[in-house]
Amino acid sequence: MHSELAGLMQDAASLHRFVRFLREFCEERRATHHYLSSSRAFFLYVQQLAEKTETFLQRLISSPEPTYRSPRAERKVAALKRFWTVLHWLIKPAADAHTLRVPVPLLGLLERHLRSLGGFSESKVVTLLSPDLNYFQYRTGPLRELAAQVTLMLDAPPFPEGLGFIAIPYSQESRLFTNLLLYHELGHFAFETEGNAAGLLPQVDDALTAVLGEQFASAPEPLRSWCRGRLVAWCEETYADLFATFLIGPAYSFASIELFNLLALLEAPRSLRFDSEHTADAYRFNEQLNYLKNAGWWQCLGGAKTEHQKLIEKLAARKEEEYLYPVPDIPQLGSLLIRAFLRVRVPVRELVAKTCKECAADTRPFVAYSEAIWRYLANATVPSTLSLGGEAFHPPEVATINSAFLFSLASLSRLLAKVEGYDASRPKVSDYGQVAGRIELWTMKAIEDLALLSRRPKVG
Amino acid sequence: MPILSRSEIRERMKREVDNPTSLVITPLLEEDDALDSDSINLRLGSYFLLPRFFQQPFFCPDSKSSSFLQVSVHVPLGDYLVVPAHQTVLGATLEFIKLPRNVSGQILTKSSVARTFIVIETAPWIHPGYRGCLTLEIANVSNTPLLLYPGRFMAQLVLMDVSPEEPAADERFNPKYLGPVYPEAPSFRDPKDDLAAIGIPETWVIPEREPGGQRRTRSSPTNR
Repeated sequence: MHSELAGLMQDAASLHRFVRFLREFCEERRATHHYLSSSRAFFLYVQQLAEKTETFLQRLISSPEPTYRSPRAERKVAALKRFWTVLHWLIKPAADAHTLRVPVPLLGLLERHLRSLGGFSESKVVTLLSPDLNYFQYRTGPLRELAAQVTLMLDAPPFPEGLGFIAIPYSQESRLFTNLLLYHELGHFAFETEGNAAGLLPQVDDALTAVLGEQFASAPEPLRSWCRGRLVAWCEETYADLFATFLIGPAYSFASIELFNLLALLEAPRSLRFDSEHTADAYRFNEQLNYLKNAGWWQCLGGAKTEHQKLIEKLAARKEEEYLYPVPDIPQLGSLLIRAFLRVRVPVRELVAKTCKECAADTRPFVAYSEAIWRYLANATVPSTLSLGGEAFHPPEVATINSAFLFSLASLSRLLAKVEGYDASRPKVSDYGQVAGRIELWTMKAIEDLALLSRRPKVG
Repeated sequence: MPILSRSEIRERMKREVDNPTSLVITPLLEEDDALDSDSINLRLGSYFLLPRFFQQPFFCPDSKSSSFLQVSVHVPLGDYLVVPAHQTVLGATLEFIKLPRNVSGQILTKSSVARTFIVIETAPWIHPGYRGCLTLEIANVSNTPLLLYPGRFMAQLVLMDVSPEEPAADERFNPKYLGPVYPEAPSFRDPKDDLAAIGIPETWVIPEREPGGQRRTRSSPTNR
């Protein structure tokens, strides 16, 4: 064999084996586990693309010499390798997230929420199970660009329309309450899909010019671009937080406290600090609390405040002047960037309101049903059918989640006191944890039931 | 011990949850089909525990072993599970039940299901005040593999008044199976503790564990 052809053959065979492994991996997982429809669509795409890739590689090797040696062919193979490297990264955490490992009822609710937003009726999100103790959204923009190139090259099916990726830390797989943070990642997905980063640039530039003045106008372009990047990233974080708060209410803020507490992020200096991608936690809770108060949620939560509520209020009360963003080598720039950013808050709030206004979490069902939901949970009973005054009611999912979360924070001891063998004078962490877990389980079951009950064919 | 009729079941379902005599069944899909004149038809849920290939020569019911016995499987509504001939699987009802404090229940295989030689219960008695989805010990005792699908009516729950009613005391929940919504692995006390409670000081029931966690069966205890 010609030495160049031998080299190419080795290269192609290596890629072929790699792709075949991924295809068979997806086939095996699909045959042995159940997945949500979004994951199934992703695996099907991978399998179809793998077949096309294998055919392409064979055709390339079989083609006459000038074709396989051409720079064009090399570029194609390089693009394929890049794309399959990205897919390799996504496939394993997606395969790990089968239906026994993810909170299926919550993901169902999340997808129904997403599809009810204008412009997202065909959207789906693939859940990834991540080794990081953090939630994140995988940006699909660069992936889609590569996919479009590969589709054209292989005559392969296009990358599934409206498909996004969000990740759950594997330790939280069966939890309900902390997984409400997925709504934040859904917000990132919406922000990216709507192209809001580009849409906000004029306001970002105006704010930077207003605060930095000539300094910004005369700065070299890389620095200007870096400043814009910080503000856009902070806008996106604000958008994602408000998006989640709009759709799921205070339960999102409580879930944030749960995770940040676990990560020990809420001590004072840290909670005031911005970083290049994230706003300070104190700012985040200020924005959320501001919305929750305006929407009437905060007033509905009842008189005796839980520790979570107190902490949210305490963090939200920190003065804006205390926020920090240290920029090495350029003193003052960080605080000026924060000042500029705070001027763009209003357009971000407006963007979220525009996207979510039809689906904003309503306080009225919470007010109507929360007391009953608490009674059901205190009686160790799934609160999906509430008997009130001799009539059966099915509370909406968001009201159920908020009521149950608040019950778990405020009144768990009511339930604990009824458990045989529990001694209030010698409380055990494990008992508390077990009962807290049960409340999440019953709430998850209630979400599952409510989805079924709402799907029933209506009579008449 | 009179059996609760459909009208009595409906009446108790209308009572508020704090009332100790209230009954909760949720979700009650297609109520008219679900309520018979003297029983409630219950559907199969989506979660199962299947027997695991067991590496030890036998299963010992102690506090550490129960989760090794089975493997969880989720079968979404719309999909199915095949139970091979002469095999068993743990399932649960789709419905979550809260029984009144003065009512016992008995769960039975629906006759149409029983005629395919599926048995769903070997521990059919449900104590007053029970909460949870009911665990179904499903056995295919036929010679044919049989298909099960979540959402199908599988069981009949018959409710009976406990009379005279036990004196009202503060209601306490058993932590062993606290409101299960999926089939849960069995929970056992260690045989040593179990037997110590009736005055048996020495036991040879629990096989010794080797350092790697593997079990070694002590066939002839030297201290007997």
